[in-house]
Amino acid sequence: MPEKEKETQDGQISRRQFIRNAGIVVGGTAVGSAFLLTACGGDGETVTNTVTKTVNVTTTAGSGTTQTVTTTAAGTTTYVCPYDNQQFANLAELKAHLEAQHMEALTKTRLVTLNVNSNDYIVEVEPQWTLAFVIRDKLGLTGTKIGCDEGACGTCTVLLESIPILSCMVLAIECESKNILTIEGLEAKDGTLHPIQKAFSEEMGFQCGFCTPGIIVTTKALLDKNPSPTTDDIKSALSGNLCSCGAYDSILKSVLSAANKGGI
Amino acid sequence: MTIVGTSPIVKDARLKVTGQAIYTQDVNIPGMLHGKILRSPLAHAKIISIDTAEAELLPGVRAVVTHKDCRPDGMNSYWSPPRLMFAVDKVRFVGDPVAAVAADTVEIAEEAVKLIKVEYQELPLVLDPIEALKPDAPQIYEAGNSFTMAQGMATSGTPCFAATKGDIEQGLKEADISADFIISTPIITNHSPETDTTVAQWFGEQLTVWSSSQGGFTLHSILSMVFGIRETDIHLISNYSGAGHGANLKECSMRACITALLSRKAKMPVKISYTKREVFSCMSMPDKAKIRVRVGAKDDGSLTALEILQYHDIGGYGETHAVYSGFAQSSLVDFYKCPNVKFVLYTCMTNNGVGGYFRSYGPEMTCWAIEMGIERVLGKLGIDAGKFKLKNHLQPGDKTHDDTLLTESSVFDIDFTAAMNGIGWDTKWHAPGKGETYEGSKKRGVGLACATKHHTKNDKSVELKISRDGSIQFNSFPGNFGQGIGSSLSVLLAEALGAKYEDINTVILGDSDISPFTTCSFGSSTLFYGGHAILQAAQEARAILFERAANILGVKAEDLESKDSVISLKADPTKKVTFKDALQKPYVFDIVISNHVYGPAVQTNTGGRGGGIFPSGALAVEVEVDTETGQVTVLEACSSHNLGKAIHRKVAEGQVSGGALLNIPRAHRLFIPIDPVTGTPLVTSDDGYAWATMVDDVMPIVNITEVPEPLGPMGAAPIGEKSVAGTSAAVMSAVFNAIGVWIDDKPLTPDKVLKALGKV
Repeated sequence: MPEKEKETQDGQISRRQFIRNAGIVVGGTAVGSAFLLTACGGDGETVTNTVTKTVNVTTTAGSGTTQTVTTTAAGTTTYVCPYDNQQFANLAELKAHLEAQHMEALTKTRLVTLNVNSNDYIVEVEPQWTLAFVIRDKLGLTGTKIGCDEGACGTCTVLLESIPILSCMVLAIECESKNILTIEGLEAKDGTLHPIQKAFSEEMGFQCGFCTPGIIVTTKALLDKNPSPTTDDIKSALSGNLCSCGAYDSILKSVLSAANKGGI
Repeated sequence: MTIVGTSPIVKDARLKVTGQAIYTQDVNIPGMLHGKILRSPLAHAKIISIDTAEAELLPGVRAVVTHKDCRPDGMNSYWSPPRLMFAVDKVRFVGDPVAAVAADTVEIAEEAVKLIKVEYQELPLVLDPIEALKPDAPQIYEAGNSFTMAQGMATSGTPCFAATKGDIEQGLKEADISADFIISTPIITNHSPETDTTVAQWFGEQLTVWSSSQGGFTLHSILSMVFGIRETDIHLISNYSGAGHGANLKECSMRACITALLSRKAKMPVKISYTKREVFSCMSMPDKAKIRVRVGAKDDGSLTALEILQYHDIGGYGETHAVYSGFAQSSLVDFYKCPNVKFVLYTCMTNNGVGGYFRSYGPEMTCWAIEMGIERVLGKLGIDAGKFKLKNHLQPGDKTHDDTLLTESSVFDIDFTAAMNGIGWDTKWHAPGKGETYEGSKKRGVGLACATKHHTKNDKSVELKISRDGSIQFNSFPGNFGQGIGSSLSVLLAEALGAKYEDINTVILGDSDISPFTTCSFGSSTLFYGGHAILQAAQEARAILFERAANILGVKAEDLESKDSVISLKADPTKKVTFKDALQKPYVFDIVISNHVYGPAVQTNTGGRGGGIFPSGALAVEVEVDTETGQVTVLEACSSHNLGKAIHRKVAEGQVSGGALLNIPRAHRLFIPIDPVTGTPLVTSDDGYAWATMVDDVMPIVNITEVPEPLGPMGAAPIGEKSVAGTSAAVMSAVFNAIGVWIDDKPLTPDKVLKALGKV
């Protein structure tokens, strides 16, 4: 059972609620990025997935740099405060501690520079805002859609430093000076469609189109790394992108067509 | 035909591949507030009191509403039984809306909802449809737990609908072999990837709503009724929706009404976006039922009796059409030749979530029951079910027990054969459980099911405009949720008008201010009736264009023809006029034609309920069952469907492929477990629900048959939903073929498979 559900069923708060409430992310970013990185056959840095008894706590502390605290304890789950390293038995206690002791650090808005589609945006973000929220609601780039808002459907995928990530599971505050590519960044300035967009058009690699932006940017990351993917490579790369119209067959054809035409 | 049957680039391709298509969640209006709904944590309870005082005092809260803010006449015509947007005296399922808040931010609204104090008195609950009909069951409604179309709420045990032919008891007596069993379907969800969203804003007494609805004026009428305003006071916009599947028919009416109510009270625009947790408990839960099947047959397999008693659980509130769920498909109860048939539908209120649609109502469930009955006796006799079905179904011209006439598009022989060949049936079928064993523990089997669904008669309108520069636009109101209707209608229009497909440059599918009346998109009817409407409009426009061209050329209109937006003399193609010139000379002119097609008028020769046309379809699958782990894997699937005529080929193929692919997991994976004590759905997010993915699921082989449907536009037959039918039936019969034992409850999860095999 996923860690998040386990916690929810134990009557505690979910990972997602925790992000919203306390402005820190537990495990989620790592899970999403690692999954998609592997899916694209990437050989970049490996991000370890969380196991049941391990909790990764990532937060933005003082200087604005990101620090990760991982604690593994055999047989017991330990929750560590990223500010003073105190240990707690459960998320609720950790949350209470954070709210009591570190509220200022948690709630302080920060100016962050995001490079989205080769444009620099300076935006004031609250610590708990996800990248998906900032891209859509603060930058107005609504091409990136939010499906589940909890890292399960792949709809919100964008490229962060060329790696597909789930933007609903990444905090905007973590993306200082990072290069981000969204669906809006693929089309050429003269309005020419990117070859992948052209292939999806011609092969009708969509039905309702809601999952399409996420699928197209994931395809871009795949073809950038692997210009001649096999069918299995494509299925693997897109395994995290749900399409509830069941258009997988034409999505597959679209990616193959883009690859055959050198669409990277 | 030159354009029909091809696959020109669909009209919304550019917007969808560039992220420019605007979905409801993308709508943001300056000053917009965010709404949250307080939902019942209990499945069945009396509401003693609701105290909103503290919530109203929270800074940033702009409006709090409960049933006290609603007009007493609610959504009577659209819910069965009638329902207001908030619970009044009692709550009937976990998630029943009790109150709502609009606030400056989502976070404040969430906080405010928690401050509303509701005092409940818990009541005993019932979660099983058969139990709900017992005399001592908790009464969800005072009048009883049955719902009938004729009487509304009725005493428990009153059937919603019954049909019979011959004498079931006599048929069972004559049988050499018989079976009597109960099968059950689990609770699933029909939700879509787009977080279900509505935005509402009042301009004085006029209301604008952005909603991911499935188009049509259904939501319009609901809003008009609920707020007591006129239809033309409502502007409904539903440009793009993140999929439909029926989820965006009625539940979105609840959300739209609540959003509009908040907006009116706060005097500001309001947006409500459901969370996945809300979606999993509150969106329609389709096709949940227990079905008793009694069947008898002679030694040679010929059927003597088939009885289907369907106990359909429509939850605490049913969407009106959900009660049709079984009976529309009941026409098919004697689809395989059988002299004695009976179909009874009980519509049972329980404390589960609301009943509703999932891309069709009925067929997935009713087809499954019918096929399971037949397969059960054939299995006992060791007869090849595929070959039996191929020989024993009705043919075009035959009628079902309720006078539903099978038209020329019901070519089941062709589709059954194609589906079977698609997976190599002849070399793979074996006596149940007697096949080879692979890798020590794996058994394989094949299954075949009839996949059809009637379509629903309804009304469609289009307004066609050919502009003075020769560009063409049409508008209708089917909504745009991926069904490709704009492109299919464009193909028909281009073909009928002799226009370039590319000249149809504006297709408006979701704006009630400019579209003429049309019913919402449901029942595999949008292309069928919308197609007729656009063909008639094209004919009228063409007559005007030809008349003007004839005047310019000095010839007779009947001697002209048109192609690629050029009108020319049949005898001398050098004498020609473009559409543009025909509209510029002698004076500048736009052609505007509004056309309406009244559904029943198109069909005059079919009986039965709902619609009546049953275009053929079949699904064959091969599965592998690991007898050590209980895991069921679908290895191959072939979905063969007669489309009459594939108007836009890729759109049509997508419907056939997607419907099967998405729904095959209903047989062996998809379900929402419900806590038997509290009635709470235990899946609350996508990662606990095994949607079809690109790696986990087999992409069906698609076979398109094209035997024209004489009543269809340019021969097209209804296609939207029938690819969904037969999915569970095919997979479950294949599992039986593999392991030789029956499993009565869906889905076929490993625990049930191992239990059936006697391993746990």
